[in-house]
Amino acid sequence: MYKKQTMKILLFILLLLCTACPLLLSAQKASNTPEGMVYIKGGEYSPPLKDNVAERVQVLPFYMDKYAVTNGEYLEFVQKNASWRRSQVKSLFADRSYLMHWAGDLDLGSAPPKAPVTNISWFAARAYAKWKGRRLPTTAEWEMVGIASATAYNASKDSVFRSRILSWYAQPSPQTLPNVGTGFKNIWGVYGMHGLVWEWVDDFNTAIVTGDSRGNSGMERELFCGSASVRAADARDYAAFMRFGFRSSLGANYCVHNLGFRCARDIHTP
Amino acid sequence: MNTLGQFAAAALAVVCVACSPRTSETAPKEATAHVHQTAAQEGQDHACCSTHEAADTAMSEASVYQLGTIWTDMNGKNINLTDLRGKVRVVAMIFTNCAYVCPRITTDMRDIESKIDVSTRNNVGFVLFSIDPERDTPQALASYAKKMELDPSRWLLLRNDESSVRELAAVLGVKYKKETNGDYSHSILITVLNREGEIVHRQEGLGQDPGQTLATLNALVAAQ
Repeated sequence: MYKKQTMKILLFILLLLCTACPLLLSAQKASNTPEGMVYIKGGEYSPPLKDNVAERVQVLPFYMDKYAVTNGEYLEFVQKNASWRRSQVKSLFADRSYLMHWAGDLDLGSAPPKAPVTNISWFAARAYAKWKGRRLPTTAEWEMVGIASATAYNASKDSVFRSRILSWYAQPSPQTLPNVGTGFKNIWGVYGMHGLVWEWVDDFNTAIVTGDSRGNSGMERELFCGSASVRAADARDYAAFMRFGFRSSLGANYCVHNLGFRCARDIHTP
Repeated sequence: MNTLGQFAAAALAVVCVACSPRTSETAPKEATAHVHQTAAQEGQDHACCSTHEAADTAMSEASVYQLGTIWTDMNGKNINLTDLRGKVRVVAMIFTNCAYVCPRITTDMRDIESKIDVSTRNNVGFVLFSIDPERDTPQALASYAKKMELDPSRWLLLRNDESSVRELAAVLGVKYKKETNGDYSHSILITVLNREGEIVHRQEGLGQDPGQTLATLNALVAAQ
């Protein structure tokens, strides 16, 4: 009887250990999610610009900002990093439109602190992300999250969702942008991937699409031109085409009034 | 056995209760601490955030050398982009595993080298930046230089990590993409930089008439 009791206790401890381990591990994962970010479990993404061959890019798990970076957040960055103030930034890193909607170096003026920061170059967005211990998302990461609707992780075949994005692309950006977190939230819990601003990606200079690079690249067959949609892996995803077209028209120091960014971060496995 | 089941259920419940409040409490703290640490580390060694501020007092605003990134050459020696100042340079981005386009870019650059005035030649540096951080080790660069018969007194082959490569490509206007087979698609672009590292001329596409490039180089060196 006594022996049986001991066995039971031992078994109980064993069971406790077994059940606790995976639980502790998953708790660890959740507790590591940085503030203001969402854990994206990764998956597959199919770029639209491929010759009928449906190429699949594997996206590893990562963290992504819930919201686009705001004027207020960016202000803190320039307060602490003088070289990124409007009057001091070098033309190699940001053109003359840099932060032109602010009243001064450290003065937002009428720019709402909680609205996404725009008129921001790729270099500036990257520098901010570095400062936060983060990075810009890659095209594949951004598109994989961007393809999610409020109810599905992959809504690329959802015509209602697609036309909603396209109707936003058709509208001019408002003079004053709304606050982040007020608009569309997708199933990942990420806000404003569509309907707020365009966003920088780390590898914006991947796609060879613009007129000036035509003829000097080894990927002419992938060019975004009149016939591109004929070759598309999914010709219906016209919105994705537009994003590729837009990105490829950018230079690293360009600052555009409706182009902002959000950060991503690697999952660090200790 | 029945008791054991109850025990197990109880154990599960205990674990759940014990873990979840801990998780939500510590989450923000751990995350913030980590972010600060990383930011501090990276702030020190990242080019466009810090060096940009400190080391460029006299450098032109449009100089690509402002990136200040540190590259490794074919001898394993580290070279800061700012060290490239002071000489007129012909630069391109390639990867040495490239079977077709890159050797031809290199050939086009050698063509330029052979055709410029003899007096100009020794005042011009030729730089190949690798876009392939994985395969282009210093050794790979060295054997490529040997294979392509590049004069080490004039040619420099450099490699770096993905992030620095992307930055340089961004300022030079080189677009590139890693394909699933590990090779790269990329712009075919030969760029002439003046002594300050400003872009003064671009030769696009393969097998172009180098006339304009030669004239630019001769003029830049003559303006010494």
